[in-house]
Amino acid sequence: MGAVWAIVEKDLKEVLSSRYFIASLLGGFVLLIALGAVMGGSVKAAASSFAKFAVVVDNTTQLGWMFVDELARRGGVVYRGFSAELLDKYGFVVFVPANFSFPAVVELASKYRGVFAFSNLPAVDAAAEAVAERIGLPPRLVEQRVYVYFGGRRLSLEEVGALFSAFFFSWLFMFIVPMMVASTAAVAVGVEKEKKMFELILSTPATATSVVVAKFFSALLLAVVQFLLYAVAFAYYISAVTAPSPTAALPLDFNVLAYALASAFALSIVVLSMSFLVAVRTEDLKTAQSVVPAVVVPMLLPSFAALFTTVDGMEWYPFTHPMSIAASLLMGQPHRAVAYLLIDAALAAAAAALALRLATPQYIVLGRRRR
Amino acid sequence: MIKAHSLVKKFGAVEALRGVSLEVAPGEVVGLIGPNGAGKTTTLRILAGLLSPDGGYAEVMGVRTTSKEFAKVKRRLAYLPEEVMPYDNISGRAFIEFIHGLYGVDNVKEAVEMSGLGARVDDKVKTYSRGMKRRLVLAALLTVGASVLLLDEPTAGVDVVHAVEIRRAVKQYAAERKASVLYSSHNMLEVEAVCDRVYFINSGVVVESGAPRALMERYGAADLEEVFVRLINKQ
Repeated sequence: MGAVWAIVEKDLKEVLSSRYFIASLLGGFVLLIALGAVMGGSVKAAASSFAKFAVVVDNTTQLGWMFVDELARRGGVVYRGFSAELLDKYGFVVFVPANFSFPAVVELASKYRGVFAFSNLPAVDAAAEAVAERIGLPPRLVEQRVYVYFGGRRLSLEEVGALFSAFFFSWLFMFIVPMMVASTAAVAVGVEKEKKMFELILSTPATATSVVVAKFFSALLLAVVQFLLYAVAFAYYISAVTAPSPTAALPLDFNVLAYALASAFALSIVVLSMSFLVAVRTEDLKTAQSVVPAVVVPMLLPSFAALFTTVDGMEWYPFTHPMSIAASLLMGQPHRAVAYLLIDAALAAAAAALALRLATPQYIVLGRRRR
Repeated sequence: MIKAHSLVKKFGAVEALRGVSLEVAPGEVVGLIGPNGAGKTTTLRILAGLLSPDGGYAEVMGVRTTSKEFAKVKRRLAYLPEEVMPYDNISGRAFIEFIHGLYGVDNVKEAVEMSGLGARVDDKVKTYSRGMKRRLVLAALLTVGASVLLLDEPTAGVDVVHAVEIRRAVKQYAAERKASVLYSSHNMLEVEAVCDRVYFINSGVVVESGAPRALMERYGAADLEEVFVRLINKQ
């Protein structure tokens, strides 16, 4: 027993004092807390937005008025006519037709809301059931037809598909590209730290600035290669699961994607600068690979929320800009897209300048600045 | 050609160097000896321009290591860090090309010859022994045309036969090129065999210096190890 306890005690002491283990542990903890906060907030916001709805009715049948009455009981606010402002105020607008009878087709209008764009309104089914019960009919459900609005314009089914594709690919850019850049930066810097090669390199004619610039280029090039390879595989995957025509399933606007990619590239420079400054503080590859994502992932988490919302109000956070840029272009506001891109470029320049300023030979070799 | 004057270096509350002074003339191989944590590596890092001293100054080829002009001197300086290891997934030849590329020289053939790796130079570094890796890095650095060599434990992990070869190569390099060599090592016998003079360093200060034979005579010791132990005990 003595030997067993001695080994267990040694293991606990060794593992719990390992920077690699602690970084992974804290990184995972922070990641889950941040994910819970971001996703929880997003889901709550989406749920409360679904709960609020308006009922538009001008003239309808007696059954229709009963239906309106049941909708009102379930929180629906009744209006005589439709206006675009209703879409900003409510999650859904329910149109009760003039000839309402069972079985009925009820049209609903909803703002674009990512993957929830075509979700039904449960209150409509519940109200229809209640009306059927009141008049002694078996429960009948109405057919809900949801029409999605974006930028005040009603979209066709194909347009919703295109919009989601544009947002989804923008999201891929704003999450996956910076993650790949962070990962390759961790490897590129971690190897040098592990091999103690920074010391040798910086004693040659190579300057600290040239080392930073070279590492930026290497990490970006490796990330681009990685991304392109994955993009090809992903395109194949999409084409395989959305047969017969992937382009019909995911119609993409090249202009939107080019802007989104440019934004993702600029934001990747910001991530790269942070990753470099963090990675040089580590002593080996494993620690670098564990610590860098722990720092970068929480920064990128809010981008998840952008998939479930209207993207409005998220533009304050630069790491959702590829999606905000896509939204601006799709709404015919290229000036806003350019403004976001300029902000991203300025951030990238500032982050790169900071990395160049902080990365002295002493910082790169020892992982700390001169006191 | 190498000069350190009253070097002071602090890392937080720890005083790594407390006024280290030393000089190495052209064509001279000078040893830097001391126990672990004595300040040898910090001294070499300051001389290589990697760290800035908190007090005193260091000069290489007459240029302060903290000045902008030192960038030009680095073309003539080669520093072998103690624990440096070449990259695993490239060949020995590619590593030599990489180092020579940093200096803007192309002397691969001589480096390959000096490394003694033979045909293995085209194998991936990860297949090399620790000693082979050390010889590779050293050969790459000894063939860049440097006038100043800063060597931190150059024979660490190298077998006896190759260690003798490395010592001979360093001595020959200094003599033929009139290069200044600062040679840090734990191996007193090695230092005795290679160095014209030695500096004993302990707790961040130079405690003794001189030619190995003169020091042995001064302390009535049979070898440098004995001199070293007596010095440490005296402190």
